[in-house]
Amino acid sequence: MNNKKVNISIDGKSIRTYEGDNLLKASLENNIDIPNLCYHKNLTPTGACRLCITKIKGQKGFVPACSINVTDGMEVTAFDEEIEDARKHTLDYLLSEHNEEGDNSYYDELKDLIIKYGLDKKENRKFPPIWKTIKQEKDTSSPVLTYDSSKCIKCFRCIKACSEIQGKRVLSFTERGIDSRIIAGLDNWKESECDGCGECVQLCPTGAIVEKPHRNELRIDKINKKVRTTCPYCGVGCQLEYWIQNGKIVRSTGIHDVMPNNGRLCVKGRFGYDFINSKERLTTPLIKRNGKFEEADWDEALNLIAEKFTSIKNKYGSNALAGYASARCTNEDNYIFQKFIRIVFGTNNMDYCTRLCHASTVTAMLKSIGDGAGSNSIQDFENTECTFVTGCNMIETHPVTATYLKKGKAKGNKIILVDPRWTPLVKYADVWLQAKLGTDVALQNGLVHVIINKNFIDKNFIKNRVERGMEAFGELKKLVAKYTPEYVEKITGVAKEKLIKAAEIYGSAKTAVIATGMGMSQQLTGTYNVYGLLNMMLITGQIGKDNAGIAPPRGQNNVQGATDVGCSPIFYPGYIHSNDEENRKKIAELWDVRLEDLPSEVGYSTIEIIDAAHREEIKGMIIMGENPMHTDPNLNHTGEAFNKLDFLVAIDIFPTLTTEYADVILPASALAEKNGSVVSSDRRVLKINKAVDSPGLCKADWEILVEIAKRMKISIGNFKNESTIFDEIAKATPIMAGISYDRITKEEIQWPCLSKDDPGTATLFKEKFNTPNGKAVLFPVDYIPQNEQPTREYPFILNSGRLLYQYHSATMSRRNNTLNEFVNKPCVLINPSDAENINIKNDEILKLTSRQGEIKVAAKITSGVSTGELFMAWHFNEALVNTLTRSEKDPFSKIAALKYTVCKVEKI
Amino acid sequence: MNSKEILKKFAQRKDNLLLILHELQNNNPANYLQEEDLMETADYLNSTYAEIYGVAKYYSMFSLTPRGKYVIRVCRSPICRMKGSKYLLEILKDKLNISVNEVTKDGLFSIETAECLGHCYESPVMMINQAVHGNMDESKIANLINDIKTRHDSISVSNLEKRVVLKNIGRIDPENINDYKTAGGYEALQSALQLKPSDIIEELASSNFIGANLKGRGGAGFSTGLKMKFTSSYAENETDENRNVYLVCNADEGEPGTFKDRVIMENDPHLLIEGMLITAYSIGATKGYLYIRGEYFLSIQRIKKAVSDAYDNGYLGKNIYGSGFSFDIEVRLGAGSYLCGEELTLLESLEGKRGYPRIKPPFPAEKGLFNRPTLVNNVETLANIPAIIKNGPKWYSKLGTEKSTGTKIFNLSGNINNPGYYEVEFGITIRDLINKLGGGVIDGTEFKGALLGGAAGTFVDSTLLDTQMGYDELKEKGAVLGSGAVIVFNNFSDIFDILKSILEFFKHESCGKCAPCRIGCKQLLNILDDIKNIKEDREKNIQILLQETEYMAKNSLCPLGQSPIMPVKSAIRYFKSELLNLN
Repeated sequence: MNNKKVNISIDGKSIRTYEGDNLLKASLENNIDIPNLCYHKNLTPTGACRLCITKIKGQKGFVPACSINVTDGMEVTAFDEEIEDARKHTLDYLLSEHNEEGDNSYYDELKDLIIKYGLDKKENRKFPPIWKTIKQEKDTSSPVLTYDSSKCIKCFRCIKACSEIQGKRVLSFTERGIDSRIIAGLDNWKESECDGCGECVQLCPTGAIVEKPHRNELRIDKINKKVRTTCPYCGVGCQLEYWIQNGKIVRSTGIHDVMPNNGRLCVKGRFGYDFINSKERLTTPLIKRNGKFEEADWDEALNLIAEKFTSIKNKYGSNALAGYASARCTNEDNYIFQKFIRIVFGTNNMDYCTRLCHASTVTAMLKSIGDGAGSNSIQDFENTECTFVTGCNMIETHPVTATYLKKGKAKGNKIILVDPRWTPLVKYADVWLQAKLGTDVALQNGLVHVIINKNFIDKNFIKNRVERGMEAFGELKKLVAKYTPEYVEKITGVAKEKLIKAAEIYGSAKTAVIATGMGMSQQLTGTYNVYGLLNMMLITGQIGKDNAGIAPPRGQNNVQGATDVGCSPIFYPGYIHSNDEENRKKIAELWDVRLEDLPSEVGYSTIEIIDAAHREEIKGMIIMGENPMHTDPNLNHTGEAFNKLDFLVAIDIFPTLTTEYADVILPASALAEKNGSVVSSDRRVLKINKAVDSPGLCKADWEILVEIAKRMKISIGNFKNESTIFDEIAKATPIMAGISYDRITKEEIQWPCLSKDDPGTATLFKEKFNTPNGKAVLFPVDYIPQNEQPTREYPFILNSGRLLYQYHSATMSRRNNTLNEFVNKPCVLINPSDAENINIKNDEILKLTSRQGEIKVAAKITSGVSTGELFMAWHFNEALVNTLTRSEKDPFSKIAALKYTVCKVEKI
Repeated sequence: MNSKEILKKFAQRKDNLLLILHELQNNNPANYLQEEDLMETADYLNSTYAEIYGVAKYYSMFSLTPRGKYVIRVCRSPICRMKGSKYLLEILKDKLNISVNEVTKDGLFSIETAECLGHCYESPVMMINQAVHGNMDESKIANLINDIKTRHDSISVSNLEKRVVLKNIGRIDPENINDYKTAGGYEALQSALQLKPSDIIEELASSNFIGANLKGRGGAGFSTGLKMKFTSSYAENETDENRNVYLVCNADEGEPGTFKDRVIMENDPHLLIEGMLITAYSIGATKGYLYIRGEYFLSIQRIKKAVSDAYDNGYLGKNIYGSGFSFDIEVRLGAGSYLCGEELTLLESLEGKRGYPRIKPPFPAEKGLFNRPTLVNNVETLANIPAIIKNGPKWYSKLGTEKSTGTKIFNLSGNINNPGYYEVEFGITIRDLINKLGGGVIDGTEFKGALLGGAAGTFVDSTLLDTQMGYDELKEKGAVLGSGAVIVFNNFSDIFDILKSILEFFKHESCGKCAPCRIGCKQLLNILDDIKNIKEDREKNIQILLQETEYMAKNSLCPLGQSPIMPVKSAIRYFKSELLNLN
C-alpha cells in the first residue's frame, strides 16, 4: 500500500481511499457494509467465504472484494440482484453445513447474515442440512476453550489469529474438503503447544471456538454493560473490555484498533479475571489483637493507625517511618502515596518493587541517556530489522509484546537472544547466546569488540551525539581490546562463531531495538550489565530514531507510572531529584505546604528500608499492595525485620504472606473496581475504568490514604475524584503536563507530553538525550567475576524467573482456576547430567539449600538449563525462592542479585 | 535408519516437508507415519505439530495408521469404474479378507483406493506399492498376490502420428544420458545459449506470426511465450545479489484419463530437463523445481537419475557450457492431491504446506514460489521447447492448424480397441483419433460418446466426431481440449455412473477452502442421487444440478470449483434423455 490517494466508486458512491488498499477494507471503512465472514482487518485476506463478491467494471465475473486492491477510477458494484442472489446462495450453502443450535454465549456473525437474507425462515432455504452426514468432532480438552466442528465454517480466522497475530502456529486443518476441520497440535488441544491466549476465540465468527469459563451463565442478551479498561497484569498495558452480567465480570476481550495491543491479549488478560470475585478477598479492616486478626470498622482502624504513626513520628522523628508503594496501583493511588509519605510522614523513605526489578537498568539509562523508560513504542518490535533480547523471557513475561516481535520475524527481521536457559523465544531466534550466569558484561564487551573490529560503528553518531565523541570511543575501544571472541568464549561458554554472528546481525542492521529484562538487571553487576548494552547501542547509533533504541519491558501494570509520579526515595514526580530546590518550591506551593516540610535528602530504598527496620531505625511502615514477604530477597531476614517494627499497616486486596505481619490490614479495591490511570512500558498513559463494585467495605487506596492523613491532622488535598488527582499530577509532573483524562479517553499519548497541544512522544532522543548537556555518555565497564562462586558445598547456581500462567507473588493469578489448570505447582529445572550425578528422577522432591535458607521442591529434568545451573519460578509460596536469595545489592542501583544464588541440591 | 537420521539428510527447510514425509513413510516397515515422526519433524523444521499434522492429513498418500508391506491401491477414476474397478475391490477384499484401509493380519497387504493413476488405457488399474498393474481381473489378481512382478508397455507407432515430443520413445534407454546425446540431445540447449534470452521468448510467443505460438499443454492453453515474458519482466527487477527467480515444472499429472507427462518422464527424462534449461535461461531463472506426482514412482526414479546424470555431465550446475548461466533442478514429490496440479496450489505444496489455492493477483510471474518471480509450466509444454529451438519457430508453426500450432499427445482410453498415447498434429478429427489410432470402439459395440480433457473436461457425442482437435476448434463447439485425455465410451456404458464418479472425484479433491466448492461438491452428489431416486422431479433436478454448477463456477476460488460445470453441462446437453430415463 502506498500513500497515493485515489478515487473509486462503489454503487455510484464516490470514495477517496489509498491506492493498493484492500477493496473490502476500503468499503467497510466507508460504511459500505459488504457482507463477509472470513475477512478480518487484522489478518491477511483469505478469500474463502466468497460473500464479499463484487463486480468490477472491465473484469470478468465476480471479484471478491477482499482479494483485490484498489486502483484509481475503479468502478465497483457491491450490491445488485445477481450479487445478492449469489450471496444468499452461499449463505444457504454454509447453513446446510452448519449446526444452528447455539446457547447465545457468543456473537454469531453467520446468524446475523442469515437473518439479513431471510434465511432464518426455513421455507426460504434451498438445501437440506448436510452437516449431520459429515463426521463432526468436538475438542473440549483445553482448559480455556472448546471447538465444535459442526459450528465451524472453515474461515481460517482462528488459524490466522494463531499464526499471523500471535505467531504461535498451533492450529491447522485436518483432512480436506467437506471433511476438513480445525485441529490443535496432533488433534488434541490440551496436548498441543496452545498456551491459551484465546486469540482464536476472539476472532471466531460463529461460535465454533468458544471460551469455557462462565459459558454456562454468560448470555449475550443478559450482558448489562461492557467496560474498557487496562489489563491488571504485566506492564504491556493491554486495552481490554470486561463484559458485566449481574454485577460480575463474565468475559474479557481485547480491543481492536487501539495500542498497545490492537485486540491481542494473553492467557492472563483474557482468562485471569476471576480473582476479583474470589471469596478470599479482604472485605473489612482487620486489627491484630493478641496475635489474631479481628474485624473492625473503618473509623476504628483508621484512628488506631493515625494514633500509632503520629506517636512514632513524634517519638523517633519522620525518618523512623517508611512506605512501600505499589506497581499495581494506579498513578492516582501512587501519587497520593508519595504525597502522604513526604508530607504526612515527612520522609523520602519510600520505594517499591521496582527496586528489585529494573532499578539497575534505570540507573544506567539515566546516567547514560537521561531517561530510564523505554525509548520506543511497542510496534517498533515488529518494524525494526533486528531485536536484541537479553535476559528477557518475553514470550512468557510480556506475551503481547512478543507477538510484535514474532510478527517482525515472520517478515524477515532478525532476533538475537541472550539467555542462560532455554525460553520459548529460542525457537524464533536467529542466534541464541547461552552465556553462563553472571557473565553478561564479558559477553557484551565481546560483542562491542567484534562490532568495532568489523567496523560496524557509526562515527557520525559518536561524534555528534556522544559526550567527548571519538575520545570516549577510544577509551571504550581500549577497554574491550582484550575481549576477543576466544577470550569471551572462555568466560561465557558462548561459541565464538555465535558471538561474531550476533555482532554482525546487530552491527549491520539498519535499525535495532534492545529488549532487556530481569536477567540483566537482577544481578550484583546489574548496572554494569546495562552499561555494556548501552555502549553497544551508542557506538552503532542504534537510538534516537524510529525502530531503534532500548526497551526494558516492565513487569507489572504500573511499575512505570509509580515512579513517574514520584514513588521514589530519590525523585519527586517527573524524575526531579529531591535536592532540586526550585522544584521543591514549586511542589510546596502546589501542595500548599512550607518548603521546609518537603524532605530533600534521599530516602531509603526497598532493601535499605528492610535493613533499617532490622536495625530498629525504622519503626513504622505502611505497605500498599505489595508483598515483600514473597518478593524481597533473603526472606528470613525480611521477616525478622517486620517482626521488629512497632507498627505495620498493609493495604491489599488479599491476605498475603506480608499481611500476616501487619498490625492493621485494610481492604482495598481491585483495579477493576476503580477509576484511574497507569503508564505502560512504552510510556503510554492509559485509563483505568471501574467495571464492577468492590465487595464489602473495600475502598480505593488513595481514599484510604487521604483518610489516614486527615486523622493525622495533615491535609493531602480534597479530591472529588481521580480526575482531579490526575490534574494535580499533571501540574507536579512536567513530563505529563499536557495530559488529562479528557485527552487519554480520546487519544493515545506517550509521555513526555509537555502541553495541551503536544501529541506526546513515541520515540525519545530524536534531537538530544535527556542528560544535562544533551549528549549520551559511554561507560566502559570491565567484567568482574561474581563475588559469590559455586563451592564444593554449594555447587549449583540458582536462577529464578517467571512463568506465563502465573504472575508475580501469584496473589491474583493463583486465584483463577483457569490459569491454575495450566500450571499450579513449583518445580526446579535441572540439567539431565546433573540429575544423573545426584541420581534423581523427574518429580522427585529435592531440598535446595543456600547460605540464606532452604526450601523443598519437585525436580524437572530438562536440557533447557546448563549443567551446574538451576532455574525456579518464584511465584509459589509453598517453595519461596527468595528464602534462598541474598540481600546483597548492586552498589549503584541497590538492586538485589535475585538471579544468582549458589546452593546445593539434596534428595530427601 | 531411524527418523532422526532420515531428517538429517534434509536441509532444515519447511519446503522439504513432503519429501521428508515420503521418506519417513517409505522407511517405516508398516508404511505409515508415526506420531513421533511428526513430532520430530516439527522440531527439526522448527515448525509446530499442527502444521506437520495438517499437511500429513491433507495428502492422501500419507497414512497415520499402519499399513501393509504391500499397499494395493485400486484406481477409482471414472474410467476404471467403467471397466469394473468396483469388482476389483470386491475381489481383493474377499481374497485378503480385509476392507479398504485395513491391513491383513500378517501385515503384508492393505487395500486403498487411488484417484486416476494415469494408466487409463489399461483400466481397471491398481498399484502394488510402486508398480502399476493394468487390465486387472480375478485371475491376474490371484497371480499378482502370489507373485508380484512388473509389466512393461510396448508401443507401435502409426503413420498418422507426428512424433516431436515423443520422437525418442522406444529408441533410447531413458536411463542412459549418452543415448539421449547421440539422438541429438542437449544440442538445442547449446544453440539457445548462443541466443539472447529475449529472442527465445519471441520465438515462442504468440504475438507475431514468426513465433511458434506454443500454448500451455497443461489444459488451460495459455500462450507459453507471453507467460515467459511476464515472468522475465519481473525477473529483471530482481537486482538483489541473492536474486531468486524460479522455474517450476508441473509434473503433478492428476487429471483422470491423462498420462502424457508420465510417458515423457519415464521414457525421455532428459528432454524435459533440456526444455527446463532453455526456458530457465530465457527468463533468467536461477533454480528449477520439478514437482512430480507422488504416485509416479517410475517417473520419479528416472527423472532423479537423469537430473543426477545431467549434473555429472555439466548440463546442470554452475556456468553451463561456460555461458555464465547457472541452473539447478531439485526434484520434489506430490503426495496425493489433484488440486496441487493447479499452479498456485502447487506452489503452496512446494513450500511444504497444505494444498490450498492462493488468491490471485499476485500471479506467479510477480510473486510465486517463496514470493519470488516464478514460471510454472507443464511437462509436455517444456518438452516441446528443444524441438522448436532446434528446428525453428517457422517449422513448428507449420505443424497443426493455424490457431493450434504443433503437435499434441492425446491419451486414449475407455471402451476402445487400442487405448494408449498418440502424438499427432493438432487438427485431427475426433473420429480419426478414435478409429484410425485407437482402433475404434470395442468390437461389437457402438460409440456413444467421449469425455475430452478428463474430469474437468467436456462430454461429446457422435455429432461432434468430425470436429478437429484444437483449442479454438473445440471451443467453438462448446468443448475443451484440456489435457488431451480422450475417454471413449460405448453404448453399454452408464452416463449416470460416470458422472457420479466424476463428482465423487471432485468432492474428494476439493481442498475445502472456499465455501462454494467445499459444500457444492457435496451438494452436487446429493442432487445427482435425487435425479435417480425421485423420478417425478428428474427434469427439475437436472436443472438444479446445472444451476449449482453454474453457481460454483461463478463463485469458487480456484479452477476446481469452476470445473464441475463442464462435465455436468455437456452431459446434460448430449445425454439428458438417458438421465431422464434412468432405471
